[in-house]
Amino acid sequence: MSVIQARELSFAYPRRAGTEPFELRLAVWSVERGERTALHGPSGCGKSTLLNLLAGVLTASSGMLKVQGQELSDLSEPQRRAWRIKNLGFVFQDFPLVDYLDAQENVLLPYRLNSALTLDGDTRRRASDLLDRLGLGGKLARRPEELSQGERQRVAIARALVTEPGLLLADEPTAGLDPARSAQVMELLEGLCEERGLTLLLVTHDPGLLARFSRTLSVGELSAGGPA
Amino acid sequence: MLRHALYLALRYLASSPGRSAVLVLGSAVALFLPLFTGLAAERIEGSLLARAESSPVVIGAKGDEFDLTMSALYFHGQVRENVPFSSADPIRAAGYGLAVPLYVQHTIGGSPLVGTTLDYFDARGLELWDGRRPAVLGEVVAGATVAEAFQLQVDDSVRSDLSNLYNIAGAYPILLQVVGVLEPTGGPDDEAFFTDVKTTWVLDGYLHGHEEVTVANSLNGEAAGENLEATAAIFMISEITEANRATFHFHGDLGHLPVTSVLVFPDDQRDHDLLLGDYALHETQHAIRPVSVVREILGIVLRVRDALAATFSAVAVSTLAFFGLVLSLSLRLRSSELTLMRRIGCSRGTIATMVGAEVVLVVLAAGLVAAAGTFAGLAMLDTLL
Repeated sequence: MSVIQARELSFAYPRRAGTEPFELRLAVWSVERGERTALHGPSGCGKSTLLNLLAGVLTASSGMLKVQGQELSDLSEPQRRAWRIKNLGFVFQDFPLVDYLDAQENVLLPYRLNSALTLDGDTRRRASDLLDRLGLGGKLARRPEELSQGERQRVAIARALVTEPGLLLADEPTAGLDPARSAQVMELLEGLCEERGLTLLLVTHDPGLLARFSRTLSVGELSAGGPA
Repeated sequence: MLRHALYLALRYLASSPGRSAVLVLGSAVALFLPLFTGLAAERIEGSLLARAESSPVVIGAKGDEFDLTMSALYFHGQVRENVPFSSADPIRAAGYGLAVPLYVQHTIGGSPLVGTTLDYFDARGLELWDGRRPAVLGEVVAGATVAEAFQLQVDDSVRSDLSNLYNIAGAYPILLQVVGVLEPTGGPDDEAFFTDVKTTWVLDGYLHGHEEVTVANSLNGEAAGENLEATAAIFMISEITEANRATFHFHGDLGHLPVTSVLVFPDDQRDHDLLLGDYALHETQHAIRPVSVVREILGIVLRVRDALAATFSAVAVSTLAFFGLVLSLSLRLRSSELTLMRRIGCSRGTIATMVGAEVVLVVLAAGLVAAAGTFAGLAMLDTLL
């Protein structure tokens, strides 16, 4: 079953003086459940734009885009936000955390920011189980400044998974990391995806990382009508 | 959602207590200054006016109306000239109302000792907390505040202050008996001692007591016959007791002895107006309406208050501007945090609610601090008024 289905999709940023026009076009593209796909390509080819379209942060100018069975153009902005927070998990570059919240509260942050989610005892238990699974069981009350870089990364990954999404989007999660650290992060993500049957879509610049993926897509080629 | 916004706002503020405390205190000062100044001015105005309104007319020697008002109403300062005790007689004779002489010349431990008559207690509605009113020479009643300050009870003794250190030939401090303590009134009566006006004349030396002058201790001895002349060796009494009270005497007419003012409580508006009319033509005395004098003083106070209000408004505006600047800089510093929130599904409205909750919490805390400061300040002011 396809988690992502795109057909005749196009998106263009509004023209601004002094900037090159940019347009992303996808004729046909789909991603199956449980698939782990790496998106790559040169800077400015539209990798992050594609992630934002998939997340409903940006809306396509035309065409069809279904994610987790939901046609995104049918949803209003608040509906897209509620849908996003329930169905997608995000792992960002640099693994940002809120520095005045402890590890557990950082994981629970999506529940505090969106009324579509309910924060209850089960949620708290799930957050602490996740942190426990990621080796942070004894550090729930630690603030980001009291955690190592690796621990902060794991807290950010737990935050992406706490809502139990079907699709995990990762935007260059290993950028700026040394190869060893990068491999650790990837092992962790792959393990969690395997364990939870998650579909992973990861944007990367790192050619060394592409070998770990069963499917790699060059966004530039995809946009130009290449293989999907 | 509001609950979560408040929670995040609280966590943010608690994460940096120093910064939050500075914000709260800065805002509290901006709130406290105009609030306290306004309320304090209102309270001072109310207190001064209440006292003035309960003191319809004051008679005194012509001169400064302000000095006379301060002396007769608040027992502060000194009038330049006294009037004779008999000044109250024509007012009583004309039936204009209750005329109460006041002699505010002496002190006990720095607090005013007011010489008056028992009518004063009735006219002011002063109630006794303990004991009784002064009945005979040498007895005093203490106001509530001075009784507490000097830890005085009925049957204690107090010594009057030496009124003129260099007048070695004059009267000396005299030990007086506390026979009553007044209920608190919240006014100047709490901070004074009250005695019969004759007792204050004893302090002046007008009334005095001394050992009996006999042939043996007189200046002219046996040759004097019945007209014995006393010498400086005669022992002067410095404590009025049951045994010697009857020996105090005055050589002359009591009506000529001084009082600083006469407080008049006219029976009605007609008597009030007639009394003022009578004194308009008086050569040496004048009748003043304390309300007019106090309103004149308040006019100055209110102008000062208005000037302060303008100043404090400027302080409040600049504090608000600083607050806005701090908030804007703080949001800029937190841009990565806010971006993260947006990316994981937080709406602009929720972020605005969270930041708004931070502002509301700071303003609420500042309001509480300002209210507590104002409350404490007004309580202190009440003890001074």
